[in-house]
Amino acid sequence: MYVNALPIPDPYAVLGLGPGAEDEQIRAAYLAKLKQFPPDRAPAEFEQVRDAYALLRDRRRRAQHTLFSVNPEARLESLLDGMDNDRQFAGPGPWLAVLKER
Amino acid sequence: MPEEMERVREQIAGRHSKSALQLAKDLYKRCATAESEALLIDAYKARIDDLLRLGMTVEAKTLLGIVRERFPSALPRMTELGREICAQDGKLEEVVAPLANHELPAEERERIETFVRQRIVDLHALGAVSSLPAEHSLRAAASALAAAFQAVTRGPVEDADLALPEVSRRSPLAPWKALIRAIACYHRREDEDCGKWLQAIPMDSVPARLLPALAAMLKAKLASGADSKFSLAEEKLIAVAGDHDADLRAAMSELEDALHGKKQKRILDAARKAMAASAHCAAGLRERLRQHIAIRCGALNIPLSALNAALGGAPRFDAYYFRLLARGLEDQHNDEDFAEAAAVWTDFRLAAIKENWFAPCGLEDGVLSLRMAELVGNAPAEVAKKLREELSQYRRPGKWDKKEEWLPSPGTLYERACKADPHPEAFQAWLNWARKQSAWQLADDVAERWREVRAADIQPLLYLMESAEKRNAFKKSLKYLEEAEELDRLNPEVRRAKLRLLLSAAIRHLQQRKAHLAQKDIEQIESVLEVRPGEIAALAAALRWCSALADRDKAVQDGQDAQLEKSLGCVAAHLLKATVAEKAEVFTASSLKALTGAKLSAVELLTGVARARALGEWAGLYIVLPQEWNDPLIAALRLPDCPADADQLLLLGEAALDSYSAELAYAVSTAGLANGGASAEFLFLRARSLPPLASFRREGCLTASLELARRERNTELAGRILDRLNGKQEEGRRWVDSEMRADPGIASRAVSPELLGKILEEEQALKKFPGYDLGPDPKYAEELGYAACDCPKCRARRGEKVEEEEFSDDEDDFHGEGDFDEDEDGFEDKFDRSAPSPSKGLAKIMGEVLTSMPPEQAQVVVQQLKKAMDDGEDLFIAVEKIMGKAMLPPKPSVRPKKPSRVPPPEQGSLF
Repeated sequence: MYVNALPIPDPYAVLGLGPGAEDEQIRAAYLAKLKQFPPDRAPAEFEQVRDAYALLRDRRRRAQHTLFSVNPEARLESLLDGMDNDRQFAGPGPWLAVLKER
Repeated sequence: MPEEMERVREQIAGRHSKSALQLAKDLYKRCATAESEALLIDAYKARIDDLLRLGMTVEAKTLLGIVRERFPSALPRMTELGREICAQDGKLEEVVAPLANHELPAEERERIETFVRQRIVDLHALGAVSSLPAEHSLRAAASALAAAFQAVTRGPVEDADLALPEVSRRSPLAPWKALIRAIACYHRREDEDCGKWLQAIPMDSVPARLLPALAAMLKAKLASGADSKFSLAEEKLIAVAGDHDADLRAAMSELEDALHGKKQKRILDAARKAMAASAHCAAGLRERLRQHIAIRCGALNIPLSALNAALGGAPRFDAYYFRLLARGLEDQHNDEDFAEAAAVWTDFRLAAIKENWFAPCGLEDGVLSLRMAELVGNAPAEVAKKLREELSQYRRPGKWDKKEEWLPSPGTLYERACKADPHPEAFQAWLNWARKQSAWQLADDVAERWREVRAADIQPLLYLMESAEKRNAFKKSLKYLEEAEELDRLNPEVRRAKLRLLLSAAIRHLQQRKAHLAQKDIEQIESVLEVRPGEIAALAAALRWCSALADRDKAVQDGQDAQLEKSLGCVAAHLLKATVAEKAEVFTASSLKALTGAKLSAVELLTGVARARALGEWAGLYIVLPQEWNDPLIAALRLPDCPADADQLLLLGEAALDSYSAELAYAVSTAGLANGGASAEFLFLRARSLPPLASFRREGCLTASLELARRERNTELAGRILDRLNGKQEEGRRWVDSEMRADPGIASRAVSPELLGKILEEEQALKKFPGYDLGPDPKYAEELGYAACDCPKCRARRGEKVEEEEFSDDEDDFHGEGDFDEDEDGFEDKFDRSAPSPSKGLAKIMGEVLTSMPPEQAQVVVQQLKKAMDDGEDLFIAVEKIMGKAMLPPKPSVRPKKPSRVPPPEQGSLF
């Protein structure tokens, strides 16, 4: 049997970073989140932030996360979360065309 | 005539302005009354309005000119139409010019502003009208709104840019401000706010014309009549700017359901629908969806050609795809799939390097190679060999790099991993693998390589020391120990290794009856720095006691005995002496004084066992308990105020497992859970003490213990649980529970606080060892999600009847009828050959029970029994251990002698 280690929320998302963030960015994001979630006021969020930082600051663990964190069994709808599937900007033309109709 | 007039009015109301005008003209010619004139003017007005609506401005203007000429009295009624024509002509100057007059009557001002609100679309033109001064509020508002409208429809806009202070709440253009903010919210997916802004738009204003389309785009029912049919312009707007996410999500959800249903046609239909719904997505996202769908469908063996047709083409075979496929294979938790996953990781590695995900021989490459090595290492050798043969035929040499081995050996992969990422964990994994191989030189070579690369690491030296010691190369072993001491003399691992080495040497010398050499070893042992005071002295005393026992020196024996009892207490001293004497092969039946259980207090018994166990673990002596101690220990554990603390209980629990005393281990877990502390550890102990058939309950306990360990940040315990789920057995441990199956999905299972609380509460309440009697319902099956599952495996685990043909050939965990029969036959053979008649009775009962059990459960029981008998265990004890006492027939009066794990006590003694 082969079992993966502890599942935790996406550490990049917890720190508000994009994948591939560098050491400096990770540290800066961690400090910013610490201010946002101090341990005495938001202990649960603080723990998440701390765990995420502990994972990302270690380059080896970060590499493991990058390589193996993908979940092939994830619900298909969840693939749309956070992906670039924004509502398209069509420019003023199509909007004005409707407005000009009486 | 009234009828004809009524008919004209109906025609006007029905927007049949052309025929209405014709009828009104005829009527006016015949009658020429004021009433017919008014009706004719109404018909003209309706006609001009329709012409304007159809964009026929020239015709409307001409007709308006005719009306003005023929009916001067109708001029006031035609003013609005005149403005409309001006607006459509782009001549807004004329329309709004009166607003420059500060003395314009309020009524007229209101009329013009209403016209602006209801008719004017061209904000640019309004902002540029020359008939109003540049600083006029209407011009300023129109210009600001025109710019904001352009911006908000072209890309993301900050809220600050939409403040639009130029547009007051009373401005006729105020609805535009609401519209622009609604569009901004729409693009930001702030649908609730978008709806609020749309509600603020007056229904008679120009921006209200967008309400139906926007409502459809939001999938919301607004008051504007979202059900109305859309014009071409509206349809185009919805197509280009509409929200297709909801449709796509719905299609994905439908596909997800179809995948769970495992019906091929439904899956393919849903996949086709999902890809169609993703047509508006960015190409990258669409490809990702296709890849995920392909992987999920591939796992269900959907034919490739049909799948590719449904997906509108094959997925792109890039690094992302291979990674997804490899992870999917890993998640099958199946030995054969592990090997295949490793081969797919090779594909991934090549693609990832090509796509610049990472560089070869970098950190990521090392991490990946380590993973691949573990996967290949976990796969059976014959499976890996077969896969290599298949791959050599499948891969086209011209297309692939010949130098790349598709399924390298674990050794090659570990080497690559350590080269790319020389981390102690990687070397340790390599060494662990090498130690399992038959040739000791391989592991030694790995340790030497480790030393070369990481000279400051203690672990390779300790391994080399142990390896040399096993080969009786004592001097070499001491040399490695000295090197390790030079690196870090105070390191507890080094101290422990030194003690173990010297202890091993002393025991070997005692075995060889070389007392003088053993004495030297003991003196060296006394020089080892202690962790806990008195322990080294106790070990030395135990060794001297053994030496005196071998020399039949009663006086020394008694002296050491007294010293031992003084430092450890009688129970721990007894266990330590027995264990050392057995290892030194100096033990005889009369070696130990009798320990009368009735005279020992519960405190003495429990703390003594815990102390001996702790000392043994530190010194590398796994102290096991005589079976006769079980009942007194269980009785002590059941006392209302159990005198042992959590640490002592855990030591006792591990000793119980090593002593094959599941019932005692269960009693320890009961006492530990009752105390309320270290619940994670005691649930883990409970899981390991349960009989094999209590699989759901064991899974529940493992699930809860892992979750608690994670919550308590007990990484050591979580690691042990995960190791167990990965099938890794703790070194030196004797307990066979690693063969009990546990769902590896436990590691990633989400555990609600309710489920955790329930398992903890129920396990605290379940104080009686279950044995074979599992009760009416499988425990935790429902909570763990197995109750509803109708697959043969889950039904079998629930104890329901399952036909053997229901297990398909490719069921990985169940080896089919043939395997099962073979195991059972082997089991029966063993009975027939060696068992006395009571055993035959037991065999008969077992045979009946096994045939009434679901095949998978029966197979587990048979394997456990086979192993126990291969290990030379007593059949009755093995059955009791695995099935519980309830299973046993009356015991024979004389039990066959079995090799004891611990020295037998003196005759007549409880111990």
